[in-house]
Amino acid sequence: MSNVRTKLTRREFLKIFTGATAGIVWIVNYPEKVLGTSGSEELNWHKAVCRFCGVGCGLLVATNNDRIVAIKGDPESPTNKGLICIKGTSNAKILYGEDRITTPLMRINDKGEFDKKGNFKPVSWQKAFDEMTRQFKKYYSEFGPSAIAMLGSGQWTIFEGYAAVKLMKAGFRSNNLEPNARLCMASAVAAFMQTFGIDEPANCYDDIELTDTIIAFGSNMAECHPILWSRIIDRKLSNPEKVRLVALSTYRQRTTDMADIVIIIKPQTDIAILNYIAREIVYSYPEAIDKDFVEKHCIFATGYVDIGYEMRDPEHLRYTELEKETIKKQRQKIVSENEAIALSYLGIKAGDIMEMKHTQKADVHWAISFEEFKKALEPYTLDYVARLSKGDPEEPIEEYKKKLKMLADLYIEKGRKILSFWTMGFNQHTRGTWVNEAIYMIHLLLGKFAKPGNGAFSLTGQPTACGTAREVGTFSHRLPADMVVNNPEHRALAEKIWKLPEGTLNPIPGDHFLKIMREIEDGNIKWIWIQACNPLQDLANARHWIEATRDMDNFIVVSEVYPGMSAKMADLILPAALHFEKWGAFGNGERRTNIWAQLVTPVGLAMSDLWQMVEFSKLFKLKEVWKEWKLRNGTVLPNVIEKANTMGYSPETTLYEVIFANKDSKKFIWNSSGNNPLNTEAQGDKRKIIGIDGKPFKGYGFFIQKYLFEEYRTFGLGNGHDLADFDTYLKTRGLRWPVVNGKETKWRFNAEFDPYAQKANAGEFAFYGKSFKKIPKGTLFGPSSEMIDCTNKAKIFFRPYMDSPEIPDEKYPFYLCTGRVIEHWHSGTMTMRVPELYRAMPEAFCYMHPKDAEKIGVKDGELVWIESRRGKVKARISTKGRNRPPVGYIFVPWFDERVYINKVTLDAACPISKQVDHKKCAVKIYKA
Amino acid sequence: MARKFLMIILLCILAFYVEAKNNDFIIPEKIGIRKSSLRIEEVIPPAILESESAEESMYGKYKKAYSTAPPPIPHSVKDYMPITQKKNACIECHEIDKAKLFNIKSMPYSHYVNARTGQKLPFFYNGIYNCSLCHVPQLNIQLPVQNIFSK
Repeated sequence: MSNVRTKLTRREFLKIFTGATAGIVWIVNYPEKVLGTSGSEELNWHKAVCRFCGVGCGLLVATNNDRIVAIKGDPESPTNKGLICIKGTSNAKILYGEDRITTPLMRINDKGEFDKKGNFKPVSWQKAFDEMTRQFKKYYSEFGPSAIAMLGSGQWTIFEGYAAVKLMKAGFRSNNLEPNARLCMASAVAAFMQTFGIDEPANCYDDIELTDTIIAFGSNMAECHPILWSRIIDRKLSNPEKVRLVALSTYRQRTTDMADIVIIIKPQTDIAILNYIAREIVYSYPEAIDKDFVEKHCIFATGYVDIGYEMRDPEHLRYTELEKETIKKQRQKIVSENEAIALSYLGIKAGDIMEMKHTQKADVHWAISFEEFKKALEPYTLDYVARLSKGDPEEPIEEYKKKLKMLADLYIEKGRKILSFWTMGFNQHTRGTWVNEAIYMIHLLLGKFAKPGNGAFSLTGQPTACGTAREVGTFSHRLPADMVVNNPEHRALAEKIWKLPEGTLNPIPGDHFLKIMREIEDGNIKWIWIQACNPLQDLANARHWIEATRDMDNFIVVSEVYPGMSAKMADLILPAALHFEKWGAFGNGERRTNIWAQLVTPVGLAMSDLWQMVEFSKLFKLKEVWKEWKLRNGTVLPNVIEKANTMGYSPETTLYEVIFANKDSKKFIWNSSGNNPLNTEAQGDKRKIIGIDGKPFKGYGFFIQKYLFEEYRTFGLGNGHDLADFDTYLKTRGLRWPVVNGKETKWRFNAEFDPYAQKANAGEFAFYGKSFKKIPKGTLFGPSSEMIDCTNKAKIFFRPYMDSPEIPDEKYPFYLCTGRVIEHWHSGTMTMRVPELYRAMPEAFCYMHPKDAEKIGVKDGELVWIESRRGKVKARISTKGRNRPPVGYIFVPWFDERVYINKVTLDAACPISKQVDHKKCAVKIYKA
Repeated sequence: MARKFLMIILLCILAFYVEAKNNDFIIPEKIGIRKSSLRIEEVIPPAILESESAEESMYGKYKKAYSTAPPPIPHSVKDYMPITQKKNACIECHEIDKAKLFNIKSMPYSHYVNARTGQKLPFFYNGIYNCSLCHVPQLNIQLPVQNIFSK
């Protein structure tokens, strides 16, 4: 008997109707839930780290069907506590640009042979590596380790950076290994090493919630360190009366928009302002000096001023007459009125010719007395500094002076905790090392340093410039854990850990980033491998590098994920795995190291940079690399093959067997069961790609990433760089080193928090870095032959104001500054391919003042030429956007390939750090 | 006649063959975002105004990137920027009570939680005061390269 109801009650009808309507509304709003791409509740979340800035936010990543499907901020990550910015969100899509490079691409001719003049065609991994090796050995055997180079990255995983250091230094015995971090943090690093003897910030992000005052110098945290800015704004708005927020910048931007006090300054005058503050302290408020701290823990120091600007020699044949107008200052310059005041302590007068005698001794420094330090500060009166540094011509000078005084008062105020932040404004600077030292000068004088809420925090731009480039030492002069190639004890330790014959490592520092590109231009570097960076787009004065890479006899290999500018200038492009497609380890700006597991299989035939380097090492026998070599400077590296034989190697042993697949590495078992089943390098993957030997790649058979990390870790244990073990980082949301007895260190050098400072037994603080602790004594004029030992002490440097080498004049009347915007990362290869980001910021604009636009005769959205002595590009102007420069100044971000702004910029750098100054040069602007 | 016909066919095949061979090559000036030589600056950036000062008609309504992503802004923010301590035009409309009043999309209750402490707040969390950290408007423009995330 049927029991079917034929009539619905009214209640039942309403229920069904509302249910259906709600369902329809829900389906319309969340189609992805119906279509199976799922809401967040059903997804499996894995922890990882953001691909982008130095804040280092923790992510939770959801995968489905071997694809990334969603991202959230990781609520358990102390850095961001579940918040992520718009770029953090886009981590889900960066792997999926349609023109992802999926096979090796080589320039070939019609016969299928490599031809530098040819266009690209897909080739197999085998053919790619055959040619790459053939070219390498051709140049290497004739010209040696000085003729090859590798450019890596502060976006390389720690495993990749460490593999590169072993491959280049232990394998090829070349020190021509440099990261793009040279262009980002080198000035900060040089200042750390000179001031404290050891790299990286003393403070940590926790200070934001503890401080009373935040000063943002030369930075745009609202766009470039968004989640840190979120923490800063929280601190400020939650304590609006007590907490003061000051921003100094050369133009108004999103960071200055939120500040209590906005100080618009002229480019390069940051040092003068810092010296003014120091002068206020020393002359007007000497009671604010923490005498105990300064006497026990600091010494005063200074250095040479006639150090040039790391520009090319003015006689260089590839530089035009126009360019020489600026680069002639590399030899000598006429001292300006403003400089003469700053350099009066040396008896220098306006109009004097300063010959750059100490370009090769730029980093030499010596101890001076407090009286001399005080004397050198004398000229930095409020009048002089205000006149020199006021950046907005429309601001009344009395207003500006008031603000400078308020800034000084904030530092001086007794009991007021203060945190200074800076990034590229200080670092990308022809006196970048000096400016970094100057901000430490203030904090050290006041004793407001390395304490909770009190500190000078050098912000790191890239996600792992700290963790990889700096800590692993992927530099021309470095080894891991702050060691250096030209120190015999450091080399001996590295040779011991790497099981190399004594004398293998090259003691001569190699070429820095800018110099590597210059040596390619000069024909001295013939083979280069570029990974995880984009030098053709990111390096100033680009015309030279285009011609160097394309028109000269060399072989350029670029490992890339998308067809960016450097890939287009390459001879061979190798498809690289991106972020979640490989096991990774990053170290962020507060020294927090983090590890994540591989979450998806790489696309196409892409393989990680790590795999590429390890495979390359299989193609070299010790007899080819450990023989005698003559370096470019004449130094001879000894043949170490006989010593190698006594260690159990043979001339036929491959580099791979020495540095990657040795007795130690094979002990690290790879186990694919468990939470993290993917590891392309250890076991291959479902693609079964045909490797460089023409056979399917089945994996190395051991946990290579863990091996590399654990071996790298031994460098730092016991000398202030202690890292925890691999598994700890995999389980936790990272730890801040030094990690001693499982405990992380928040405030270094402070004996209350840092076990190394306690051990040093030097009082409440110990600046226990070992570098540059034995220096000469001297006067303001120069060093004497007497040496002093400043072990455990920090240096309070006096550094003078000096002009930048290219200042606007009648022919080129505008300052040009370059930088970033929140939507795009660096050269835009990843972010311009994320629809949400592209639609938000589709092109690089020339931000300018409306009065300048009117004078030039252009309206918003119209095209102008931006032209310097070096080149010109077109851009559309914007006078009402997020960046509002003063009259006579423009800002152009560098993320847009179509606005190739680095054709215009100047290749001048800090002579100590070798970091290029991308923040100032002179241009003319006219309607296009 | 037949011979002529054959010749034409052969020429066509040859033309296709040459064309196909050329098509095999990837020409750097024709791929990526910048589809022109790096040496010459005749590239013209796309014709739109700076995203914050473009006209309302240039913006579109787009879905969230994926389920847990923040929603994009479906309108111009030309008249609402900059965000300062004194003025946040976004919150003036989109904080929960106001949004209900104006019948527009309100910020979610999750924005009323202190992310660092987990504490529920009577007003939005100060840490997300800068809406532009996560939310961006979307211009209605063609993408230079498609993204196959949702395929």
